[in-house]
Amino acid sequence: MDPRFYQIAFLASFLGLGIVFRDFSVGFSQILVVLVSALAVQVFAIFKYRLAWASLRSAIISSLGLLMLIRTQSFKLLALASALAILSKFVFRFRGKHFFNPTNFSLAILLLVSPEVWISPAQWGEEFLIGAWIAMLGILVTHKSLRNDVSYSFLGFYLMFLWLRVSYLGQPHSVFFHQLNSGSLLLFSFFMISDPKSTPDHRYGRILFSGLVAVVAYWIKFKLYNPNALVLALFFLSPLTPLIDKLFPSERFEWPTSNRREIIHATSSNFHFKFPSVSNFWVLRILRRQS
Amino acid sequence: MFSDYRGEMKDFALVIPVPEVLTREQINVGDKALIERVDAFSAPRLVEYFDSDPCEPPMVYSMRSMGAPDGALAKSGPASSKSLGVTIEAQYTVGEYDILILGAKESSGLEKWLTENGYKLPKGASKALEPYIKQKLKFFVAKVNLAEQVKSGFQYLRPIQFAYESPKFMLPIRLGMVNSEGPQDMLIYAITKKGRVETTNYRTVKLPTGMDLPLYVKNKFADFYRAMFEVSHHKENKKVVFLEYAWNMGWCDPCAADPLTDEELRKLGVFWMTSPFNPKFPKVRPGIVPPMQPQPEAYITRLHVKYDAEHFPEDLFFQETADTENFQGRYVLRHPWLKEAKCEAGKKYFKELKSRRIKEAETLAQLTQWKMEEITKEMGKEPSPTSDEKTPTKETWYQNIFK
Repeated sequence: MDPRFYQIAFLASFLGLGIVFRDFSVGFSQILVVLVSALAVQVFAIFKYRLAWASLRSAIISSLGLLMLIRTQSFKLLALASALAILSKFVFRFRGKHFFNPTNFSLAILLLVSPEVWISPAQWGEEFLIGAWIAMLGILVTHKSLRNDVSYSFLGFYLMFLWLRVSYLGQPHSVFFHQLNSGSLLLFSFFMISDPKSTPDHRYGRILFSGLVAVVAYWIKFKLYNPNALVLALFFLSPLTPLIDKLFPSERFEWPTSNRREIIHATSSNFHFKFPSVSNFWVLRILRRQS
Repeated sequence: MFSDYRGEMKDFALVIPVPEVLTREQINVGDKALIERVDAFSAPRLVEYFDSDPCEPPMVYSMRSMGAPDGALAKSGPASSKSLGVTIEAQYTVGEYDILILGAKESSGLEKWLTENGYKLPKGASKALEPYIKQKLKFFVAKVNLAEQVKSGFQYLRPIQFAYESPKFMLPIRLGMVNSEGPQDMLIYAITKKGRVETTNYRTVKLPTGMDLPLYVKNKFADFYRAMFEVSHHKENKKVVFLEYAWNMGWCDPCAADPLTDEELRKLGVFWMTSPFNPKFPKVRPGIVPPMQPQPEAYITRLHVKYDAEHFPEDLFFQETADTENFQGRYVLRHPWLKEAKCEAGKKYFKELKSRRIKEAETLAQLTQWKMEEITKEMGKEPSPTSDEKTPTKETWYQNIFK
């Protein structure tokens, strides 16, 4: 099954619980604006670039991620954020691969440009987040199909920095655990930096990339005192992805239900983060048809 | 910063980490009345509505409001330590305070220096000072200059104000936990240009608001507020910061106190307002000051936090958001219509009145965890309309004569 379904299920239930129990100030109208705007752009792209309808799933994931993080009083900005997220996939491409995570791109641009947008990183609360961390790790462990090495290596680096800082300052260790109490950190680790489409193709590249993001995020958070450090760090470093791909070339990632054209790009895969059985099947069929 | 320090003036001292060496111009001793004004303006409030004759639909209502008494304000500081590595970066007497700005290299050095200089330091002070020293913060140390205090003629310690620029929007609360007995209450009034302020490392939660309560709460509003805050605090596992008020400072509806004037805002530190706004507030109805155009660039957020070392391991970090949605802690008292109302609507009204009373009592019990029996006892008997359709048997003139 397309792992994006798990992501949609997780995000939707997390968002739903947040709205019901945590007063996320996200209402029906906000959800509608974001979804309609994202899906409209995606549908346009489907026709223009002859993409698979399954790509709508990615647009839903981007919208849900955006809804959980972005806060603004302006519906225009919400619609713009959502459209920008999807558009970024088709505008910022290098050799047929987009290098910004859509949600991250639009969040960062709006945070940098508009004074009307903010993120409330602490609004989930501790109890809620403990549950979410467990659920997320559970999903990752049971569904290896989700490419999760970036999440692990990013968390490894970033949490190590946090731990070292707490130890150096002589703060109680409860401070470290308190710092995990951030919805942004969780969503960022599992839904933004882990985006298999926009991160480097090779595992070494991804580890290098996540390390760089962790360093820059730490610097922005503790030297510039900006609470949106994670989002900004990923945004500034994403353009490095094509360079890292050049350094460590590897197979391009494809979702298991991608359309033909993309599958042909992927070709014979000996790359085990993909779904060899499924994609090989498709490749075979396509090849047969072509012949 | 204003603290409700209780004890001998000569024993008072406070230590606050500050991001830089403050010059004399950056420090001021303020006016307690100003803080009381902001407190009164932003306090949770009661609104009274008077039900109209149910048989005459057009609504006429009058309204009064009153502010809640202030909660306990701010915090008191610890004190003390000397010797190696401690530098006196600056020294001033401002108002009744002797102020030192200290730089330190080591927490044990600072602790020793303070102790040797007559500051009583609680146990664990060194451990609490360490993170601030390592973050290269300076220490603002103030104690009361008794001679100046007598000259000033004040019976209390006036608030200390300081002004500085820093990207670090935070409040160091950890130091104050060292010598406190139990949890401390703190009210934070943040006045900003754009919108609501929230904590970025603790959940900011809105205080329960908008409920209909029994009429007797009017005389016990302070008790009600305290009990309700306590219950909410426990419900959120003692880990959140409460939002009590968020509003543009140019207007209020209902007003717990008049909006602050230009002059008052400036004295509180609102330095950016270029065009003075009209300090004469037009009142359309008593208790309401309508929004004016243009609205002043001053938005107030009132946060209330009750903290202790266990539940607040980290200092409070804030951010200003673009949220300008109004929020206030507001509780409603509805005075029933108790005159004659014989129409259909009237009958229905009196029927509903009963369930309304029960609901009000239940809401109060839920918010404060006061016992239902006590509440119903305090509420007294159900008031009956002066003349009801079942008019009580007419009193005769001789009934009371020989009693």
